[in-house]
Amino acid sequence: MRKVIVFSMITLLLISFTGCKKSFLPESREIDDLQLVQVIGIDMLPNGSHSFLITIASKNLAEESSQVSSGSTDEESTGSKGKKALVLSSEGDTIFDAVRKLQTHSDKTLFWGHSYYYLIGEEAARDNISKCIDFFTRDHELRVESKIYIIKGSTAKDLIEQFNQSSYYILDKLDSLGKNIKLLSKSEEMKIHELMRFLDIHHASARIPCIYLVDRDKEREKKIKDIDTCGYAIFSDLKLVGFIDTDISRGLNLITNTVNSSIVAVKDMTGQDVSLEIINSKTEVIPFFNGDNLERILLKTKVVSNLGEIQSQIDFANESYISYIESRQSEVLKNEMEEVLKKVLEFRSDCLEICDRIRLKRPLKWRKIEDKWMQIFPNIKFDIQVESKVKGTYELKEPSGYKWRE
Amino acid sequence: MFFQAPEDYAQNYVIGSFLRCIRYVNSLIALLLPGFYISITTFHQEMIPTLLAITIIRSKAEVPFPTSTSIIFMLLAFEVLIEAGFRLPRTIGQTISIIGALVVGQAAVQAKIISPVVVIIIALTGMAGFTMPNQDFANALRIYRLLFVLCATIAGLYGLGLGFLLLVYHLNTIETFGVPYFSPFVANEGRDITKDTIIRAPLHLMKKRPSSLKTTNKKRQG
Repeated sequence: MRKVIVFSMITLLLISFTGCKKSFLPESREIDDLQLVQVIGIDMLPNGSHSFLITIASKNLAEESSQVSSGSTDEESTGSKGKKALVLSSEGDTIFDAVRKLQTHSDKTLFWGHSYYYLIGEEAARDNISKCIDFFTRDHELRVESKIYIIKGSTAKDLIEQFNQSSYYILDKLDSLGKNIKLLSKSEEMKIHELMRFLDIHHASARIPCIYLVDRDKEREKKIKDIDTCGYAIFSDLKLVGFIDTDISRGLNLITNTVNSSIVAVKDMTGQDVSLEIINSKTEVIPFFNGDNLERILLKTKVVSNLGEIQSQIDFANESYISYIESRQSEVLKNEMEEVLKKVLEFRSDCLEICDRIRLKRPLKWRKIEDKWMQIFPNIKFDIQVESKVKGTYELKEPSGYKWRE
Repeated sequence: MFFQAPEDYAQNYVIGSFLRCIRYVNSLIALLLPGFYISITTFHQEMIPTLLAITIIRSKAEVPFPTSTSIIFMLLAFEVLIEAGFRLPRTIGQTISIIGALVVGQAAVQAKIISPVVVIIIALTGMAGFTMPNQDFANALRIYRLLFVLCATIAGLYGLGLGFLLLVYHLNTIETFGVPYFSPFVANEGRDITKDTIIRAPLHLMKKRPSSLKTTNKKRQG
């Protein structure tokens, strides 16, 4: 008897203290009633009404199963059939409003727990970035692990819809872009919680990787839309102020120590091209204080690279050649870094994590200048030192045709 | 005591321990897997990796019954199959299992009455249940499995946790001839906990009999 009482008491207590207000028990829904939202596009309507436009893409399951059963891929397709993604969009005064409206014209329950990418249109980013991400970071169903991209030159809706004309699924494309970003180190992936931290620490400045739509030739004069990365969007005071393009964006990766691997092409003494592969790089930010005033900042970069390709036929395995190549590489990288610094100072945005680096290096001095950092920052004098080292030249000592040349 | 098979002691202790670990994991699978599947597919969809979720959705797309119904149905069908196999003579018994498993199962999947993932789950559960060395224990697992499915249908992982809590409470209160059901995990201040439980220690470390049995002769034979 005692056991029965204890049993029922435990059960009662456990059920009644679930913390659910409406009902005792959590709500259930069947998994096949869900539509998994995987890519979310956020735009601001251009008419100045400050309304948002949400576009979502999720995998088109009906299309694939019908293909499998019918066994043919070139069937006549209408509407959403034949597309890789189901795209829905809706407008609303706020993002939450738009999201709710989206639900009303979808036949399945939209499930946001599997969203992987937020694509933010240029217009919305120019207005205010934190308006765009607040709902997505506050709502419990969405993940803060999702990645964020700014769409350069078009709206997110355009990008998602136009890319959907191609034969790829947008999520797969973005995934592969993210994987390959490390090979060039001209952009990076950014998770939304990293962005939140970044905005808080770096005085509302940020850098967010960009993507844009490109036309790509494929299969005889048939142009297809493709997505590619294009450097960074720079934010100052939560607003998009400018872009850093891929021609110099490696400089930004060098300054922020996010270079994994990259190819630097330089000319050697004979005017032929030489490719160097960066295998390791480290930039140190060294602040110089005069009393409590920040006088100048030295960016000291050490780059180690391998010689991957030589197009000339000369004997390169000597000190003078290697040191010449090293100096050329330093020059190229220093140039890129200088260009980036110039742009960033012009944008008045501390997106290079300079303040964080100073804080870690000189915490006491940093506290003195912390409050007026954004006034100091645009006028700081930066010096850049790049030290290159060519470490290896792989198996071949002499290029092919070297002997013949002699 | 329910996880100890006689051959554990005849084999090398490494193999004995490995098989015993598998048995412990299997008992959890046999007990919880159907309930766990129900709770993640109807309550906690964010827990499933995206690609798996898409596969499950696709396989369940045209199945009319809710997940819980099909799981309960399949579990009962499985029990029926076992029982039918027992009652018939051995030669026909095999035919029954082939008809039951292959023909009916395959047909049900193709007719979209049951999703193939459910079939896999039930098969895994059944196999895991058969690895138990003690038939009484296996029977207990079969009954409790159904209860866990009910818990999960009502309240998802929360229900599953609640059910598990009650089960552990219940098992802790049981004593058989003065020996606690959970010995050696709960009795004797944990003295024998490392020797003959999840790991079957080498025989030279197990010279004495389990102290929870309160035997008059403290030493093992042989």
